[in-house]
Amino acid sequence: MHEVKDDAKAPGHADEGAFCAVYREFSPAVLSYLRARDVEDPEGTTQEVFLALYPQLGDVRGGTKGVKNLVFSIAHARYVDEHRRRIKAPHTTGYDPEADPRCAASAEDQLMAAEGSTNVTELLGTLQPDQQEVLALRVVADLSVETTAEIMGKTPGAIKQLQRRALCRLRKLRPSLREGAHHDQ
Amino acid sequence: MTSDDRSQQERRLDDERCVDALLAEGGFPDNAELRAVLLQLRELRVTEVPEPSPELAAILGRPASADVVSLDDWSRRRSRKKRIVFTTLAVAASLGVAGGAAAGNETLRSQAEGAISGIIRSFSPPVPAPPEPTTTAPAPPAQAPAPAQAAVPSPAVPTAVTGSAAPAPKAAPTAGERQQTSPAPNRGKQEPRDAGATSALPRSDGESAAPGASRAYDGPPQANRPPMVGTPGNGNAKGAADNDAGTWQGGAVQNEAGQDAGQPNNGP
Repeated sequence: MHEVKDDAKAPGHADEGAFCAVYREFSPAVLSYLRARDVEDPEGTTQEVFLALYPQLGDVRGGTKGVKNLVFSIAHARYVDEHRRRIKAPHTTGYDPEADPRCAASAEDQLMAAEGSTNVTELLGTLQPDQQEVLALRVVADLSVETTAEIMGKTPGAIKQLQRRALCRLRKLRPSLREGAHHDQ
Repeated sequence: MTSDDRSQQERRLDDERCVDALLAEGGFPDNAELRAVLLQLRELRVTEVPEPSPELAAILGRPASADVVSLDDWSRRRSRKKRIVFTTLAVAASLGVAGGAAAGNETLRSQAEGAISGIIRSFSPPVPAPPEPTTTAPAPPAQAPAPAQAAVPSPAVPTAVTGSAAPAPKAAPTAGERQQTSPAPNRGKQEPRDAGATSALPRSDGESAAPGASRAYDGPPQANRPPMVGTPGNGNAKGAADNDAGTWQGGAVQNEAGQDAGQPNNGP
């Protein structure tokens, strides 16, 4: 049984065994990341990510870390593509003002929604897009600051700043959690 | 404790470790609320491997479905690249072997030389009609042989000189012709005319002509000596020799002057 190893193979060459190992190792994390980002078809997008990975797998350097970096770079690019496509072509279903993603909610609405929601994805949706992306990549995809910075095209300092602001916002939006935590204690 | 419980516990510990590190980076190390939110977010992670699509299953080596044709374009491209490299090397090697064999073959080389020279000849302008310098310059060689006979002891007989002086002017054009054509016809022309003169030539005064002859030997090319052995040109020998010495590069006018210079000798 193949395992993802740090020793890089010869460049330009990747066998099916290595690809199987990569798929087993990273496909759950990719699927989780795409679900956390509320992609329409997370399973199908996960397949696309690995189909795009296969031709490039032979040229990857850096062992497991390099492969992980490449996998989530492709996943992030797929998510961005879908996000743009969604902006360009909004839903064609019947119009529901409550469900319109183009409507900007007021701060009061956001606070009420955050307090009344127990769904963490909805809570995540109240953050800025960059802050959402940083938390998804760091917490769900379990990537380091450097890898997240590389994938998002920012500096590690900027990633740390986004992460700090996201946590501050989450703390403000969930005062009820504090009460819940006190009750637990 | 089963292995599932152990793996779940390990996973929970791993999640807590990750969340604590994130909170410490953000400056909220002891915030339980945020910790709970982040742990909830962390639980979005799934552990089961998603079922691959048919295309992906074909790559993974699993039995492919009917609607998947082939996905090994990548490997085929690599083999095509290898084939191109091999073909290039084979063609280069065969060209090298063929070129070496052609260079080593003597007949092939000579044939190639002939072909190349033929091509060059066909492109070069036709053989130029006798240009001025070539028609005038050969005049001295025509007369120069005359001293060659002077080397043969021959007297400066007036009749012989006049007889030989007459053909001298003709010698210039014939000499020009001789250079362009074969020298044989010239001999035939000159010999009948000078036949009488040669027969009348006494051989006593040959030494008197010797100085001129010695000078005349320097001038003419070697090729002109033999044909003129039978020709007279005795009296002309001096003039020709003078002419030769003075006007090697001269033309027909100087040639005539040399004949004129030789004629006064005939008078006495």
